[in-house]
Amino acid sequence: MTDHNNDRSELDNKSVEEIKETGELTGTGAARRRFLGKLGKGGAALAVFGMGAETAMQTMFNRSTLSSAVAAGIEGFSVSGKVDGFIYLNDRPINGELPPHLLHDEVTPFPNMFIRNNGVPPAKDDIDSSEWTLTVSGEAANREVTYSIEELKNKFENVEMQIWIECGGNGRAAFEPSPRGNQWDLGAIGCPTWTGVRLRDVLEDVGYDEDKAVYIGYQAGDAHLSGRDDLDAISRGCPMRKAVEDETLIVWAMNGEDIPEQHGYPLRLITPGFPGSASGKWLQGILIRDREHDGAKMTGQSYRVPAYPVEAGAEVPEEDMVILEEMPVKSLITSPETGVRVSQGDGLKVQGKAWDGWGDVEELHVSIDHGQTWQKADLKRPVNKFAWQLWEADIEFPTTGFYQVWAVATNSKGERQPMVLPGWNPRGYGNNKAHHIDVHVEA
Amino acid sequence: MKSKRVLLLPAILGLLWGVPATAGDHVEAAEEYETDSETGLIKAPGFDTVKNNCTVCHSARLFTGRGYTRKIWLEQIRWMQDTQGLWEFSPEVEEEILDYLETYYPPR
Repeated sequence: MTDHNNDRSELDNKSVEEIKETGELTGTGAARRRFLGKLGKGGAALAVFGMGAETAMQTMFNRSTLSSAVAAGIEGFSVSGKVDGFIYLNDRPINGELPPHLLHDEVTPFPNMFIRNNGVPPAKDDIDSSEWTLTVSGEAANREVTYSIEELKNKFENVEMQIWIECGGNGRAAFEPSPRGNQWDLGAIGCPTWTGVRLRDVLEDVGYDEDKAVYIGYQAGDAHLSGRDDLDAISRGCPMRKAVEDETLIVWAMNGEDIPEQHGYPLRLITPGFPGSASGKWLQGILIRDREHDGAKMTGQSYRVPAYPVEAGAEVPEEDMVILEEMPVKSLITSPETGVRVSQGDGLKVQGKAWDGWGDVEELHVSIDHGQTWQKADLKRPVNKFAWQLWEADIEFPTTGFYQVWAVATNSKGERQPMVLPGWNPRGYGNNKAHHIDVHVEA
Repeated sequence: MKSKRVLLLPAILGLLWGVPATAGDHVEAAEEYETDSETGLIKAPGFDTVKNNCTVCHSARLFTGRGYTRKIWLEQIRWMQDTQGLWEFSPEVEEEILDYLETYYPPR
């Protein structure tokens, strides 16, 4: 990692200004882009170098001095329409999450949907959705086909499903030493309804060599933070086994309306159960690869975990890092908010959500004595596979005093959420530690 | 007064996240200086260099909330230079940036 690559030595004597102007590529950057064609970032190609970036960003979002934005950590920054209490972790790129009690809706509405951006989204106002196209190609594709959104709507069966998306790094903030990346706490998860077509139907229409096809890679319309057209902000995907599942979708609507700008307008992928980064936003291209896709943030340590358990702070060789696929079983208590005060005689109805990367949560248990005894909660079946599942439990407290209510979900494989932090990993993925709330029980 | 308030934010967020907001070296070193309201960076020696080189593409919020060793800070710089379009630094600039990050944003 610390090797000083000689590819860059020719740039050593150039001033920052010269490099900015010429936008010169490093050798490694060029090599990594060998497969990816010109994307035409369109409206996304903001001039993000220099101070122009600040001006551009200011025009894109409402800036205010509202106390909610300050409390959330970034003074004066918010995304229009997001709920008060939205926690902004970063403004460039935009990243933000929700506290658990703001995830109580059965179907997550736009104001309560977390944002995880890697680059700069194309501005919605600059996009004519009737001209937006999706091109499918790649080494294992029989041909290259370009579809308009209208053609997707008319040619393939339309499906509507409620599917959760969770950032792979949700829960990262709890790991020590602190892994690099946004310090997500609990709420980088949401479950809206999506409308679109099955990816499988589109792949079959294009036609591909089943013996050659290994992986799907997406190409997206967001601009790299550096403003350089030769770099992708992110280009990930999924193995073919996932790409052809019934619930892997190309969608144009969220909760029955155009996908909001920050969530992928006008077209995105939904790859259920995988880290959210597999569900590419601002979708422009799909590559049917004859190898594991090697786009931006597929390689190195991004979205990868050690192939074996490691001690906290360990350095793990890149060849021992494997791609994070199905997210671990997890749950949240979304009502009441932590810190609630209740009368002992009233008891407490606790409600929440549960989800699993393989698609089924079998059981949910709650405990008010730190896991010594457990009470089975009423867990609903999902409205469709990969929708999160609602659960609730009526709790009675034997005495007054301070209690913690813990919730633990168990998936169809018998895997259960741990009450301690799961294994540390270099980038802090897959923290599915059980959630709890504090409850003050009064007379 | 304003700088104090901004300085407290990481500690408050730390509490919200359930992470102990310990008064470590980070806080002690940081308390001697104001915090820049625009970037959230501590206005200690090296601030201008860090601001000019590290906040052109991304917000400083990407890194002001945590801390690392000098070795890991350097790895991050190399990664950005290798893959993310970050330009080369002169040795003096690189030292100044690393000194600043190591001193004011150490592991916590």
